[in-house]
Amino acid sequence: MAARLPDLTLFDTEGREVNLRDIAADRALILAYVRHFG
Amino acid sequence: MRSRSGDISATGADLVFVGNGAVEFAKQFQERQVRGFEVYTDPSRESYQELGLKRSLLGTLGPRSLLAGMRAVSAGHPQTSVEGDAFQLGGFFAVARGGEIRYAEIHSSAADRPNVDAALAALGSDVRRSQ
Repeated sequence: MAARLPDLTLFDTEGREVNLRDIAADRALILAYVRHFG
Repeated sequence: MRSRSGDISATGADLVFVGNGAVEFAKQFQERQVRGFEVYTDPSRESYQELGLKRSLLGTLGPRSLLAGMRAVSAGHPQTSVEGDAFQLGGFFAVARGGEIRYAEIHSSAADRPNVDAALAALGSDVRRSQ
């Protein structure tokens, strides 16, 4: 498992590219990876 | 987990969801199930792989998962569809400011539920200090 969030691109709900690591750049997160959006 | 969102925000951490379907499904998920929370999607599932999350037929369709599904239906929370990879399993992380992963759960079954208390304990007082 990575010790840091990986430097990878996700998309927000408007379709904009967001770097995963940037999401936690200035705040703590509880990050829930869901199986799917069902 | 949504029922614990107050406990999470009280520590100063933000609850964020990541899934793996198309952007339009992420938006629907946000509007229908987790309104008010940030939702992102990783259609390539590359971050799932980097974080060590599992993909399993048995984990998604095994007895524990089926029982959990029945309990969800009886509680009034049926799964209406699968928008994303049907065999992908989830996970749960506590991440410190800057991106350090302090706590990780790699789920082995669709029936696994996150341990919110353990995740918040892993963030500890660092969260409050960063406010």
